[in-house]
Amino acid sequence: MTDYSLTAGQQQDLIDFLNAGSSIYIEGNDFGYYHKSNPVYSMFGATYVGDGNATGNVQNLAGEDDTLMSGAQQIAYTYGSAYPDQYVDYITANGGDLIFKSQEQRNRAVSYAGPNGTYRAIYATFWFGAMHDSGATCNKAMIMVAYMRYLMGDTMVVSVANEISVTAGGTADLLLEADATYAGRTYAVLGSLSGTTPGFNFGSAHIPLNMDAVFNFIRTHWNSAMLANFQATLDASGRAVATLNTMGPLNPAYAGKTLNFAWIAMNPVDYASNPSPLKFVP
Amino acid sequence: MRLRLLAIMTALAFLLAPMALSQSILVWDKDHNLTFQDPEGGGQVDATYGVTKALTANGYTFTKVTTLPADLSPYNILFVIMGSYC
Repeated sequence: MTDYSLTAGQQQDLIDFLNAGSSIYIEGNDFGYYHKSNPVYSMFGATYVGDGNATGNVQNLAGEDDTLMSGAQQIAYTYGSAYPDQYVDYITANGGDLIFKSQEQRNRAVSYAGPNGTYRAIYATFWFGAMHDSGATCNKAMIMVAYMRYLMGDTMVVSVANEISVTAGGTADLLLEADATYAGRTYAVLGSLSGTTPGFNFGSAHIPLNMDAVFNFIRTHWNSAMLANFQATLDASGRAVATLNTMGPLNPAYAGKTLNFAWIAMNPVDYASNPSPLKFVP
Repeated sequence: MRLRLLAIMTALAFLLAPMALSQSILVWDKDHNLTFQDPEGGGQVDATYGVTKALTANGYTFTKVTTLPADLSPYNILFVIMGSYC
Protein backbone atom coordinates (compact mmCIF):
# COMPACT_ATOMS: atom_id res chain seq x y z
CA MET A 1 0.00 0.00 0.00
CA THR A 2 1.08 3.56 -0.63
CA ASP A 3 2.54 5.44 2.31
CA TYR A 4 0.91 8.87 2.64
CA SER A 5 2.39 9.54 6.06
CA LEU A 6 3.32 12.95 7.46
CA THR A 7 6.56 14.50 6.31
CA ALA A 8 9.13 15.49 8.89
CA GLY A 9 8.21 19.13 8.37
CA GLN A 10 4.49 18.45 8.84
CA GLN A 11 5.20 16.48 12.00
CA GLN A 12 7.18 19.39 13.41
CA ASP A 13 4.39 21.80 12.49
CA LEU A 14 1.92 19.73 14.52
CA ILE A 15 4.32 19.53 17.48
CA ASP A 16 4.87 23.29 17.39
CA PHE A 17 1.13 23.92 17.12
CA LEU A 18 0.43 21.88 20.25
CA ASN A 19 3.36 23.32 22.15
CA ALA A 20 1.93 26.76 21.45
CA GLY A 21 -1.13 25.71 23.48
CA SER A 22 -3.43 24.99 20.56
CA SER A 23 -5.55 21.88 20.01
CA ILE A 24 -5.57 19.03 17.50
CA TYR A 25 -8.07 16.35 16.59
CA ILE A 26 -6.33 13.74 14.47
CA GLU A 27 -7.76 10.60 12.92
CA GLY A 28 -6.22 7.96 10.73
CA ASN A 29 -6.25 4.20 10.53
CA ASP A 30 -2.46 4.08 10.28
CA PHE A 31 -1.24 7.17 12.12
CA GLY A 32 0.21 4.86 14.76
CA TYR A 33 1.51 2.28 12.32
CA TYR A 34 3.57 4.87 10.46
CA HIS A 35 4.43 7.29 13.25
CA LYS A 36 4.69 5.24 16.44
CA SER A 37 8.41 5.99 16.72
CA ASN A 38 8.19 9.66 15.79
CA PRO A 39 8.11 12.45 18.38
CA VAL A 40 4.81 13.69 16.96
CA TYR A 41 3.07 10.49 18.07
CA SER A 42 4.05 11.02 21.70
CA MET A 43 2.12 14.31 21.67
CA PHE A 44 -1.20 12.43 21.62
CA GLY A 45 -1.05 10.47 24.88
CA ALA A 46 -1.18 7.00 23.36
CA THR A 47 1.00 3.99 22.61
CA TYR A 48 0.56 2.05 19.40
CA VAL A 49 -0.32 -1.61 19.97
CA GLY A 50 -1.20 -3.11 16.58
CA ASP A 51 -2.14 -2.50 12.97
CA GLY A 52 -5.49 -4.27 12.91
CA ASN A 53 -6.81 -6.60 10.23
CA ALA A 54 -6.90 -5.98 6.49
CA THR A 55 -10.64 -5.57 7.05
CA GLY A 56 -13.24 -6.51 9.67
CA ASN A 57 -11.98 -4.44 12.57
CA VAL A 58 -14.63 -2.17 14.06
CA GLN A 59 -18.27 -3.23 14.19
CA ASN A 60 -19.29 -0.81 16.88
CA LEU A 61 -17.80 1.61 19.38
CA ALA A 62 -18.59 2.33 23.01
CA GLY A 63 -17.58 5.32 25.08
CA GLU A 64 -15.43 4.75 28.15
CA ASP A 65 -16.84 5.62 31.56
CA ASP A 66 -15.59 8.76 33.29
CA THR A 67 -14.42 10.30 30.04
CA LEU A 68 -15.70 12.67 27.38
CA MET A 69 -17.55 9.77 25.83
CA SER A 70 -19.33 8.43 28.90
CA GLY A 71 -22.79 7.40 27.79
CA ALA A 72 -21.91 6.78 24.15
CA GLN A 73 -22.97 3.14 23.84
CA GLN A 74 -23.01 0.80 20.85
CA ILE A 75 -22.37 3.23 18.04
CA ALA A 76 -22.42 1.20 14.83
CA TYR A 77 -19.43 1.60 12.51
CA THR A 78 -19.04 1.01 8.78
CA TYR A 79 -17.77 -2.54 9.31
CA GLY A 80 -15.90 -4.34 6.56
CA SER A 81 -15.88 -1.30 4.33
CA ALA A 82 -13.08 0.10 2.26
CA TYR A 83 -11.58 2.27 3.46
CA PRO A 84 -12.71 3.17 6.96
CA ASP A 85 -12.36 -0.36 8.30
CA GLN A 86 -8.99 -1.29 6.81
CA TYR A 87 -6.05 -1.83 9.13
CA VAL A 88 -7.58 0.15 11.98
CA ASP A 89 -4.80 0.60 14.54
CA TYR A 90 -5.45 -0.21 18.16
CA ILE A 91 -3.75 1.60 20.99
CA THR A 92 -3.36 1.95 24.71
CA ALA A 93 -3.05 5.02 26.89
CA ASN A 94 0.26 6.75 27.51
CA GLY A 95 -0.76 9.72 29.59
CA GLY A 96 -4.10 10.22 27.87
CA ASP A 97 -7.60 8.94 28.65
CA LEU A 98 -8.96 6.15 26.48
CA ILE A 99 -12.35 7.36 25.29
CA PHE A 100 -13.56 4.75 22.77
CA LYS A 101 -13.17 0.99 22.49
CA SER A 102 -14.50 -1.33 19.82
CA GLN A 103 -16.56 -4.48 20.26
CA GLU A 104 -13.56 -6.74 20.98
CA GLN A 105 -12.34 -4.36 23.73
CA ARG A 106 -9.57 -2.86 21.65
CA ASN A 107 -8.92 0.81 22.37
CA ARG A 108 -9.50 3.11 19.42
CA ALA A 109 -9.34 6.70 20.65
CA VAL A 110 -7.75 8.81 23.36
CA SER A 111 -8.01 12.35 24.71
CA TYR A 112 -4.95 14.06 26.12
CA ALA A 113 -4.33 17.37 27.86
CA GLY A 114 -0.57 17.33 27.36
CA PRO A 115 2.02 16.59 30.00
CA ASN A 116 0.89 19.44 32.28
CA GLY A 117 -2.47 20.40 30.86
CA THR A 118 -0.73 22.66 28.37
CA TYR A 119 -2.76 21.70 25.29
CA ARG A 120 -5.69 19.51 24.22
CA ALA A 121 -5.63 16.64 21.73
CA ILE A 122 -7.95 13.87 20.59
CA TYR A 123 -6.59 10.97 18.55
CA ALA A 124 -8.88 8.41 16.90
CA THR A 125 -7.77 5.40 14.88
CA PHE A 126 -11.16 5.24 13.17
CA TRP A 127 -13.01 7.62 10.86
CA PHE A 128 -15.43 9.97 12.60
CA GLY A 129 -17.67 10.02 9.53
CA ALA A 130 -17.94 6.22 9.42
CA MET A 131 -19.80 6.10 12.72
CA HIS A 132 -23.55 5.68 12.28
CA ASP A 133 -25.92 8.10 13.96
CA SER A 134 -27.98 6.34 16.61
CA GLY A 135 -31.02 8.57 16.57
CA ALA A 136 -31.41 11.29 19.16
CA THR A 137 -29.60 9.40 21.90
CA CYS A 138 -26.16 9.46 20.35
CA ASN A 139 -25.14 10.90 17.05
CA LYS A 140 -22.11 12.48 15.45
CA ALA A 141 -23.30 16.02 16.11
CA MET A 142 -23.52 15.26 19.84
CA ILE A 143 -20.10 13.65 19.84
CA MET A 144 -18.70 16.72 18.11
CA VAL A 145 -20.09 18.92 20.90
CA ALA A 146 -18.08 17.00 23.47
CA TYR A 147 -15.00 16.95 21.23
CA MET A 148 -15.18 20.69 20.65
CA ARG A 149 -15.72 21.58 24.30
CA TYR A 150 -12.62 19.58 25.12
CA LEU A 151 -10.56 21.02 22.27
CA MET A 152 -11.61 24.55 23.14
CA GLY A 153 -10.01 24.07 26.51
CA ASP A 154 -13.15 24.08 28.61
CA THR A 155 -12.45 23.09 32.18
CA MET A 156 -16.01 21.85 32.68
CA VAL A 157 -17.23 19.40 30.07
CA VAL A 158 -20.48 17.46 30.26
CA SER A 159 -19.81 14.11 28.60
CA VAL A 160 -21.41 13.10 25.33
CA ALA A 161 -24.58 12.04 27.13
CA ASN A 162 -25.45 15.71 27.36
CA GLU A 163 -29.16 15.05 27.28
CA ILE A 164 -31.31 13.22 29.81
CA SER A 165 -34.87 12.11 29.21
CA VAL A 166 -37.20 13.23 31.99
CA THR A 167 -39.32 10.15 31.30
CA ALA A 168 -36.51 7.64 31.60
CA GLY A 169 -34.06 9.51 33.81
CA GLY A 170 -30.37 8.78 33.55
CA THR A 171 -26.84 9.76 34.43
CA ALA A 172 -24.27 12.19 33.07
CA ASP A 173 -20.59 12.48 33.85
CA LEU A 174 -19.15 15.96 34.39
CA LEU A 175 -15.46 16.25 33.61
CA LEU A 176 -13.46 18.78 35.58
CA GLU A 177 -10.35 19.47 33.53
CA ALA A 178 -8.03 21.96 35.18
CA ASP A 179 -4.26 21.54 35.12
CA ALA A 180 -1.60 20.42 37.55
CA THR A 181 -1.50 23.80 39.26
CA TYR A 182 -4.87 22.84 40.78
CA ALA A 183 -3.73 19.42 41.98
CA GLY A 184 -5.13 18.61 45.41
CA ARG A 185 -7.49 21.58 45.51
CA THR A 186 -10.96 21.11 46.90
CA TYR A 187 -13.67 21.78 44.35
CA ALA A 188 -17.45 22.01 44.31
CA VAL A 189 -19.82 21.60 41.38
CA LEU A 190 -22.72 24.03 41.10
CA GLY A 191 -25.70 24.10 38.76
CA SER A 192 -28.57 26.29 37.65
CA LEU A 193 -31.73 26.01 35.59
CA SER A 194 -31.87 29.79 35.24
CA GLY A 195 -29.09 30.48 32.81
CA THR A 196 -25.49 31.62 32.91
CA THR A 197 -25.68 35.40 32.77
CA PRO A 198 -25.21 37.64 34.61
CA GLY A 199 -23.98 35.07 37.14
CA PHE A 200 -22.41 36.43 40.32
CA ASN A 201 -19.09 37.08 42.00
CA PHE A 202 -17.90 34.97 44.90
CA GLY A 203 -14.46 35.15 46.44
CA SER A 204 -12.25 36.31 43.62
CA ALA A 205 -14.14 34.31 41.01
CA HIS A 206 -17.05 35.11 38.74
CA ILE A 207 -19.47 32.17 38.78
CA PRO A 208 -21.33 31.89 35.47
CA LEU A 209 -24.60 30.65 36.94
CA ASN A 210 -27.73 32.39 38.16
CA MET A 211 -28.84 31.33 41.62
CA ASP A 212 -32.19 29.57 41.78
CA ALA A 213 -33.90 26.70 43.63
CA VAL A 214 -31.89 24.07 41.75
CA PHE A 215 -28.67 25.91 42.59
CA ASN A 216 -29.60 25.78 46.27
CA PHE A 217 -30.63 22.13 46.03
CA ILE A 218 -27.30 21.16 44.49
CA ARG A 219 -25.14 23.03 46.97
CA THR A 220 -26.99 21.44 49.88
CA HIS A 221 -26.84 17.89 48.44
CA TRP A 222 -23.22 17.59 47.34
CA ASN A 223 -22.08 13.95 47.33
CA SER A 224 -25.57 12.54 47.79
CA ALA A 225 -26.55 9.56 45.61
CA MET A 226 -27.81 12.00 42.99
CA LEU A 227 -24.71 14.18 43.00
CA ALA A 228 -21.73 11.89 43.38
CA ASN A 229 -18.33 13.52 43.73
CA PHE A 230 -19.82 17.00 43.52
CA GLN A 231 -17.48 18.14 46.26
CA ALA A 232 -14.09 16.47 46.48
CA THR A 233 -10.43 16.96 45.62
CA LEU A 234 -8.83 17.36 42.21
CA ASP A 235 -6.28 14.66 41.41
CA ALA A 236 -2.57 15.14 40.73
CA SER A 237 -3.34 16.34 37.21
CA GLY A 238 -5.98 18.80 38.43
CA ARG A 239 -8.86 16.69 37.23
CA ALA A 240 -11.96 14.93 38.57
CA VAL A 241 -15.22 13.38 37.43
CA ALA A 242 -18.55 14.12 39.09
CA THR A 243 -21.73 12.23 38.21
CA LEU A 244 -25.33 13.35 38.13
CA ASN A 245 -27.84 10.51 38.58
CA THR A 246 -31.50 11.49 38.39
CA MET A 247 -32.41 8.31 40.32
CA GLY A 248 -35.32 7.67 37.97
CA PRO A 249 -37.82 9.82 36.08
CA LEU A 250 -37.96 13.56 36.62
CA ASN A 251 -40.86 15.98 36.76
CA PRO A 252 -42.08 16.31 33.14
CA ALA A 253 -42.02 20.09 33.62
CA TYR A 254 -38.21 19.91 33.29
CA ALA A 255 -38.47 18.79 29.65
CA GLY A 256 -36.99 21.41 27.37
CA LYS A 257 -34.98 23.06 30.15
CA THR A 258 -31.20 23.28 30.32
CA LEU A 259 -29.24 22.65 33.50
CA ASN A 260 -25.89 24.42 33.38
CA PHE A 261 -23.01 23.22 35.52
CA ALA A 262 -19.82 24.93 36.59
CA TRP A 263 -17.25 24.15 39.24
CA ILE A 264 -15.27 26.30 41.63
CA ALA A 265 -11.93 25.82 43.34
CA MET A 266 -12.42 26.32 47.06
CA ASN A 267 -10.44 27.46 50.11
CA PRO A 268 -10.16 30.14 48.82
CA VAL A 269 -12.66 30.46 45.97
CA ASP A 270 -10.33 31.80 43.33
CA TYR A 271 -11.45 30.02 40.18
CA ALA A 272 -14.71 29.20 38.43
CA SER A 273 -14.98 27.09 35.29
CA ASN A 274 -16.94 27.80 32.16
CA PRO A 275 -20.60 26.73 32.26
CA SER A 276 -21.51 23.52 30.46
CA PRO A 277 -25.10 22.58 29.58
CA LEU A 278 -27.13 19.42 30.12
CA LYS A 279 -30.46 19.35 28.34
CA PHE A 280 -33.61 17.69 29.64
CA VAL A 281 -35.69 16.17 26.87
CA PRO A 282 -39.12 14.45 26.96
CA MET B 1 -14.31 61.97 8.61
CA ARG B 2 -12.02 59.37 7.08
CA LEU B 3 -9.82 59.43 10.16
CA ARG B 4 -12.84 58.91 12.41
CA LEU B 5 -14.00 55.97 10.27
CA LEU B 6 -10.51 54.50 10.35
CA ALA B 7 -10.41 54.85 14.13
CA ILE B 8 -13.78 53.14 14.51
CA MET B 9 -12.76 50.30 12.17
CA THR B 10 -9.48 49.84 14.01
CA ALA B 11 -11.28 49.71 17.34
CA LEU B 12 -13.75 47.17 15.94
CA ALA B 13 -10.91 45.07 14.58
CA PHE B 14 -9.32 44.94 18.04
CA LEU B 15 -12.64 44.06 19.63
CA LEU B 16 -13.62 41.40 17.10
CA ALA B 17 -10.26 39.76 16.48
CA PRO B 18 -10.12 37.83 19.77
CA MET B 19 -13.70 36.64 19.29
CA ALA B 20 -12.95 35.27 15.83
CA LEU B 21 -9.68 33.73 16.97
CA SER B 22 -11.28 31.97 19.91
CA GLN B 23 -12.87 29.41 17.59
CA SER B 24 -10.67 29.51 14.55
CA ILE B 25 -10.79 26.01 13.11
CA LEU B 26 -8.70 24.54 10.31
CA VAL B 27 -9.66 21.20 8.73
CA TRP B 28 -6.75 19.58 6.93
CA ASP B 29 -8.11 17.16 4.36
CA LYS B 30 -5.28 14.68 4.08
CA ASP B 31 -7.33 11.63 3.15
CA HIS B 32 -5.96 11.59 -0.44
CA ASN B 33 -9.48 11.35 -1.87
CA LEU B 34 -10.49 7.97 -0.49
CA THR B 35 -14.28 7.70 -0.44
CA PHE B 36 -16.84 5.44 1.19
CA GLN B 37 -20.61 5.16 1.51
CA ASP B 38 -21.92 7.74 3.98
CA PRO B 39 -23.92 5.84 6.64
CA GLU B 40 -26.45 8.68 6.72
CA GLY B 41 -27.28 8.45 3.03
CA GLY B 42 -25.01 11.14 1.68
CA GLY B 43 -23.66 8.93 -1.10
CA GLN B 44 -19.96 8.47 -1.69
CA VAL B 45 -18.10 10.86 0.58
CA ASP B 46 -14.56 11.38 1.80
CA ALA B 47 -13.28 11.17 5.36
CA THR B 48 -13.77 14.87 6.06
CA TYR B 49 -17.48 14.82 5.23
CA GLY B 50 -18.74 13.59 8.60
CA VAL B 51 -16.44 15.89 10.55
CA THR B 52 -17.34 19.02 8.65
CA LYS B 53 -21.05 18.15 8.69
CA ALA B 54 -20.97 17.76 12.49
CA LEU B 55 -19.05 21.02 12.90
CA THR B 56 -21.56 22.84 10.73
CA ALA B 57 -24.50 21.26 12.57
CA ASN B 58 -23.16 22.77 15.78
CA GLY B 59 -22.69 26.21 14.30
CA TYR B 60 -18.92 26.14 13.91
CA THR B 61 -17.30 27.66 10.87
CA PHE B 62 -13.98 26.40 9.57
CA THR B 63 -11.43 26.65 6.83
CA LYS B 64 -10.74 23.46 4.86
CA VAL B 65 -7.46 22.88 3.05
CA THR B 66 -5.70 20.00 1.34
CA THR B 67 -2.23 21.38 1.97
CA LEU B 68 -1.07 22.27 5.47
CA PRO B 69 -0.42 26.03 5.52
CA ALA B 70 3.07 27.17 6.44
CA ASP B 71 1.60 29.51 9.03
CA LEU B 72 -0.82 27.89 11.48
CA SER B 73 -0.88 30.83 13.86
CA PRO B 74 -4.30 32.12 12.73
CA TYR B 75 -5.88 28.90 14.02
CA ASN B 76 -6.30 27.42 17.45
CA ILE B 77 -7.98 24.12 16.61
CA LEU B 78 -6.70 21.84 13.85
CA PHE B 79 -8.55 18.80 12.54
CA VAL B 80 -6.16 16.41 10.78
CA ILE B 81 -8.18 13.92 8.73
CA MET B 82 -5.78 11.32 7.40
CA GLY B 83 -7.99 8.51 6.17
CA SER B 84 -6.05 5.30 5.61
CA TYR B 85 -2.43 4.55 4.85
CA CYS B 86 -0.93 7.50 6.71
